[in-house]
Amino acid sequence: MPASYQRWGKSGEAPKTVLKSGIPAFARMAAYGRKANFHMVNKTVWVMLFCLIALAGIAADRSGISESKLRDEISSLEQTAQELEEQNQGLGRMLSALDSGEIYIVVDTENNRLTLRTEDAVMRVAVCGTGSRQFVEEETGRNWFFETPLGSFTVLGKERNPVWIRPDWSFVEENMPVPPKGHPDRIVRGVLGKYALLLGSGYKIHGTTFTNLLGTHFTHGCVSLGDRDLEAVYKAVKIGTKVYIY
Amino acid sequence: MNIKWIIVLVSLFATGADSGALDISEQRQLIEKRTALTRRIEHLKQEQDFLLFQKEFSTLDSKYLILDLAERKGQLKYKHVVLKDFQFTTSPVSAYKKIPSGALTLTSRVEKPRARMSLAFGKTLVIWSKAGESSGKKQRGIVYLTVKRKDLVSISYALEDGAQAYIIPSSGLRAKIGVTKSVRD
Repeated sequence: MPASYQRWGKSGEAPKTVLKSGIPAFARMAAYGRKANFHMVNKTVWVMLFCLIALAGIAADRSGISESKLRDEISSLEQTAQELEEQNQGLGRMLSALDSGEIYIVVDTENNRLTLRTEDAVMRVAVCGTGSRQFVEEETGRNWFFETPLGSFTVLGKERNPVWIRPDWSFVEENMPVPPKGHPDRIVRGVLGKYALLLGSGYKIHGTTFTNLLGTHFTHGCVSLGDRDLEAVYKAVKIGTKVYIY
Repeated sequence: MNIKWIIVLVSLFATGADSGALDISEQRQLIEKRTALTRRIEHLKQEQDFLLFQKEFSTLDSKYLILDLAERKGQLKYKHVVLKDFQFTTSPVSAYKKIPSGALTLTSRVEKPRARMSLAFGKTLVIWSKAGESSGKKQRGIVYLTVKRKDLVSISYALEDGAQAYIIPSSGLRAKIGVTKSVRD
């Protein structure tokens, strides 16, 4: 029997020699089908086998340690997501509360379009006329620039069959003498249509006899509409309706 | 063999003995869950940024744009009020993948001639009309939004220099632009 079959320690051989002779010895035993005897197989081979299995187990065990860290991380992420979700819901509610759902008017002065709408739906788009952006100057030095004012406004009043009280510039434009305030020549009926919405500072949304000019910049600052659109808008809005002109 | 060695080796074996196969699959599930949560948090942060933008501009006296690149829809807004809805085409088509969500600032504009009217938001985005598209030269790296001329005219008139445009690149954000219905009598 080869020396490698002898028990390690008793044989007194160095580990390297044992290893070198032990593996071939084990292989020869397996090849001959002889039953492995713990005492006959080189101890080193068994040590190697156990160490390999132990290392595999330790590696698996180490993965168990990172798993708990993973769970902690997930828990923290879930909490963060929950907080963000709640914050966003709060912000969403705050923004939703700003929308009253009421109808408002938007006037696009570049394209001469008046839109009657809510936040989510457009009710009507009307062709309108806005300020001519023309400049008129009187001999006395007074001058006027005819532009529809931009910004946000509120319907302050509603009129039926509005009367036009001619301002000074309307006489200056026609090279006519300017009558005193309250003079009957200043009162003109039937030129502003059947309805008017008052926006303040003398500005209105009203009708016009110059329907062929709708869609252009032809007014002296007011917003002019055709008869049908004017009636629809007048009936849809109320005092307090917002008007946005840009 | 020395009995001590047997005890040591068996102990080594026992420390490692574990149901390794089950842990790996469970671990994979946990990693996937973590990835999904990270993605969700990112989405929620984007959503919050948009909500905070709207909250800030609900009080400012300034008009701004909201641009949904995925849906190719835009809104001109003032405070919380929609002044105008418009649509656009994008170049490149997958523009929503090119620009991250967030606010851009109007840095320059061309107003005349009208055919070449355009609005530039840094070196990121340009809004122009079809006429501008055919006469202008596209630069690499810039996303171009083509709108109708009348829309461009009114948007350009409405926006001041330095105005903001907020980009919503992905669908699914809670506070994205809704569909504006048209109700005519």
